[in-house]
Amino acid sequence: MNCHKATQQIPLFIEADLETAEMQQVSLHLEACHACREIAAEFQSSQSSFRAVTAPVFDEAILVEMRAAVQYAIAQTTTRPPFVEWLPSVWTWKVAFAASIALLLLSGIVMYRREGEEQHQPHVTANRQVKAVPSASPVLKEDLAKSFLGNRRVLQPRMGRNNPALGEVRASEHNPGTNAIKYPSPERTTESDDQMIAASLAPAGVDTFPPTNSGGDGFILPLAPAAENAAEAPNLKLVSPEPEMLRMEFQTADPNIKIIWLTPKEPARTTPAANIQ
Amino acid sequence: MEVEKMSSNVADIALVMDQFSESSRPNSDPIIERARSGDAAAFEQLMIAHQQRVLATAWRLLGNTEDARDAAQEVFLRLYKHLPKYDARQNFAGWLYRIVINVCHDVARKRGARHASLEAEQSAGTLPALLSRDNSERAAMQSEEQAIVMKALSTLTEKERAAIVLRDLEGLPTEEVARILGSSATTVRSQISTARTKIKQYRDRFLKGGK
Repeated sequence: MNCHKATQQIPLFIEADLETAEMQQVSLHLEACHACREIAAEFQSSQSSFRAVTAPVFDEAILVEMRAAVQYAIAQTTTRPPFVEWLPSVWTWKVAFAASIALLLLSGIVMYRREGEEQHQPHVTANRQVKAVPSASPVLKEDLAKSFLGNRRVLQPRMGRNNPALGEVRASEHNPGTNAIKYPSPERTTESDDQMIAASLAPAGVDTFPPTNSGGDGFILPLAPAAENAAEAPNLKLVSPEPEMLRMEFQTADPNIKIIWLTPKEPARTTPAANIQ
Repeated sequence: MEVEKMSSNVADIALVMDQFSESSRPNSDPIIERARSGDAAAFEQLMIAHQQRVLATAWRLLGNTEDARDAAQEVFLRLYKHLPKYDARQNFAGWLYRIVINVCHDVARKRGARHASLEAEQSAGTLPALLSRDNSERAAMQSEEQAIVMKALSTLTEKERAAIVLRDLEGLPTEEVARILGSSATTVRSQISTARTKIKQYRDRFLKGGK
């Protein structure tokens, strides 16, 4: 064994951490090599100092305090068992039966309430709802109607009751020569009239709304998706139940006056609200 | 003559190792068995039996009293928690050392101060008590050397420190240290050799620089 190899082995040799054969080889080398023997002696001195390191003696008070803290922590963990361990301790068949009955009742109540909410919602949920306006008054200023409609015809809401054919205007109520308009009497313009109109306008297979009296404002009509923008205009109602027809309702400054307009839908004007704006 | 002295020291060390092996053989301690079954009094006895060793090891690994106390507390909590899983065929002391090593590793990482400095201990008042135990000059020199060695210990890596503390200060055989640290005996020997060399170099530099 040379000095380099011996120097590498000395840190382990001084504490007998080498194999027996290696221990003998290092021992033989140390007998022959004075320099390596000095290195080994220095290592032994360092090791003696290291082994002499003593941990501080801890007071009994510290030890008692530590044990008390441990016992307290253990007591805390044992008094609050996890749910998996707690459940079997309180489990009885009576409790389980009562809990399952309560759960069934609760789920039944929740389902019943959910169904009730669905029934109160409109059938055609895709359409926008427009707040209905009060029923029309017989007093309508002609110039106001002209400013909105120009030469277009104004139809009464009750028109559909006597003649369900859409877009048809009764000659007795329209004077084409003067563009004069006959307005319905207040007692004839009812919510049932409007409901009938809505029912007659609705295409087959589409449900109509029942009249609602939210705040006494009248009924709510479904709007086709193309007329959604018009809903943003205040006091404006657009109904497009059939592809060919448009129904427009205008609320004048007077809350008692309403203009209802039915007209064939023209291909170029897909969004009546845009025309108005 | 020196070689003969070294050989006799080596023989003494081998004898100590044999004694440790005898004492650390797996046995079924009735206190451990009772503590495993949930006996609080038995667990208290178990803590009393091992508290000094656990605290001393934690102090050597962490380097300060406060961390050592916290670590010891956590060690006994983990001991209580994992005691039902303890296999009676295992060496209980080795099993406990493994818990101490793991807890000290966690504490050191949590505190961010892996090794407390000697100055910190001096400011805390622990070391002056050690140094002033004997007023004689020789005792003062020994205390100074101990302080240097502790400082040198703080320069080691965590694994080197654990290996040399268990091997040289706790007196465990290399194979047992390897089992506790979860590595091979060869690796532990390498770590121990490096640690001893570093401590010697640090001590030499300090003492020769002082002279």
